[in-house]
This record gives sequence, C-alpha cells and structure tokens, in this order.
Amino acid sequence: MNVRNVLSGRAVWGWYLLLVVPLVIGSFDTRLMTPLALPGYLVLTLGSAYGSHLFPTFELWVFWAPFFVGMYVISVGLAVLSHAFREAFVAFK
Amino acid sequence: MRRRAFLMTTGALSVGRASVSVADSGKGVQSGSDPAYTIRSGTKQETEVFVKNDGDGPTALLVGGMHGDEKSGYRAATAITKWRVSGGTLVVLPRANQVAIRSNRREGTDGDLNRKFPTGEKPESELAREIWGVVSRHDPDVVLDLHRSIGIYGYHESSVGQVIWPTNVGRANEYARLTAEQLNDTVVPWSMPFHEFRRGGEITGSRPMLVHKVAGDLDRPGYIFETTAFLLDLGTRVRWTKRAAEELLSHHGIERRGNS
Repeated sequence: MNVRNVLSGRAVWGWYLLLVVPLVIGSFDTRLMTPLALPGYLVLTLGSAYGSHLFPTFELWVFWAPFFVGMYVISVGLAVLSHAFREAFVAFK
Repeated sequence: MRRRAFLMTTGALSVGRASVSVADSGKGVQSGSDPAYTIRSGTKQETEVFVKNDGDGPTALLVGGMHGDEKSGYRAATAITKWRVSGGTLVVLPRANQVAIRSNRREGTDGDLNRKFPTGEKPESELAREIWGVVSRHDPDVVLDLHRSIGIYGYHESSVGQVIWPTNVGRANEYARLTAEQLNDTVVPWSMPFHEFRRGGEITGSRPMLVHKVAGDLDRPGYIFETTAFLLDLGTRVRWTKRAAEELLSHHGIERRGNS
C-alpha cells in the first residue's frame, strides 16, 4: 500500500462518502436521517459541542468544516484498517 | 396587590389604549379561520389574533413569532390558527412581532419583545402592553410560547434547544415531562439521541418574559417550547412544534379535532 493509496485510494473515499453523505442528506431533510447517519451525527454533535465551548461566539455551522476534515482523517484510518484486515484474511487463506 | 387584581388593572389599561378592531362581539370568538381581531391596528406592528371555541372548558393562549428569526414558532402557530378544537377555547397570536418577522431578525423596533414583560410591572413597550392586553382579555388557563434555538441544551454553549420549560404552577412540570417523553417516543428518531426533548427548569417569574409574567403575575401554567435548528430542517421543526402544542393543549383539556 503506497502513500497515494493510503491518502486518496478508493477505500478512503468509500469510507468518507459512507460517513458524510447520510448526515448531509439528513441535515437537509430530517425524515431522511437514517441510522447510517449515526456515526457522522455523533462526531458532528460532540465535535461542535466541544468547539462551541472553545469558541462560544462562533455559529454552529462553522463546525461543519472541521467535521469534513476530521471525517477524512477517520476515513484514512478506516481504509488502512480495512486494508490490513483484508491482507490478514488473505494471509490465512 | 393580588396577582389577579394586578392583571385586571394592567390589562384594562392596555386594552383601553389598544387599537383593537373586533370582528365579533364579546370576546371575539369565531370558528372559521379568519382573525377575530387585530392589535396595534394601523401601525407596522399590526397583527392578528385568532379565537377557536368549541364548548365550555379551559382557555389556552398560544403565541408565536415573539422573535422574528424563529420561523418554526410562527409558522407552526400560523398553521394552528386553522385547527379546530373541542373542549374549550384556543386563542392564537401567531405573529406577535410583525416588524421582526418581516426583517427576519430576533428583535423588532423596540428591542427584544420577550424581555418586555417584567413581573409585577407594566409591560415595557406598546406592543408588549397590547399582547398583555390579549392575555387580560381572554384570561387564559394556560399559555404556550413557541420558539426555536440554535443548538442543543447542555451541549452547545448558551443554547436552550430541545427543551420544554414549564412554569412552577399546578401540574405544568409533569405535563412538560410527559410531552417531552411523547415527542421522544413518536417524532425524534432513535438515531438522533442528542435531540431528545427534555423538561427545563421551572419558570418562576424571575425574568421579564411573557411566560415568566404568566407565572409571576397570574400564577397560571405556561410553557416555553424550544426546538433546535441544529441538524433539523424547518419543516421538521414546524411539525415537532405543532405536535408539542397538540400534546400540551390536550393535557389542559383542549383537544385538536380532526386534521383540519
């Protein structure tokens, strides 16, 4: 697994879309807020809660920016973990 | 001065000065969807009052639009003017602060309308006095004030979202808890746990807000309902606000009739 794949491989963007898209859709229409949005929901809510304590004058929509960045970092981690899991599974075959 | 006597005095003063145009006689009771009368007539603050009545029973006053940027409150209240009710009288002032609503700002020409109702004193602006005149005129058994907040109570700094604040009168505290539970069971998705409604601390009359004055001067049940704009679209906030109003009114003996 090279650096390019670690940072921008298909697995990274797959995880990223899975974590971010359900929450974005749900934020436009709450009736579309499915359980798939739960991970993003938890990260955004708790992250913005912490952010609002650090920067109480900021409006809450500001915390979408660190959410998008943070989800990218989490997606890279999940992609690395899923790659390692797949490699281990293949090794035992 | 006894609280009721104080109400009648200040209310009479307010109504005496108010430019009230009454569609019907008496209390302006009517059953259609037309307003019963207006307050602040002929001014930029002119706004309508609706009265729904079906049978003897308690009277409830529901207010929306105290803050002009809180769309869910005044849109829900406007929708509620079309309801039919049974078991009492529902008075609705859906767009309390027309100037603030038109400019989509929290405050109108006189500042924050919901800080103009000091307990034990005359309301501090002409609009606030005429709104208190509506309270005096109908002498409600319960008052609901519909709002929206920015974040989630207890998590986001200075936010009061997803909370029902009851007055410290009668069974308001219990009804606020039951309504919060009902909303959590029926409308809040389980996958949005931070959005569960809570019962807020009891309102005592210690701050110059309408429902505080209802507690302090009238010793009546009242509620401030807050739902949050955080991750909730406007349509959802309106639906949840209407559901809360229906539930709270039901606890006070006024039932929504049909889906009209």
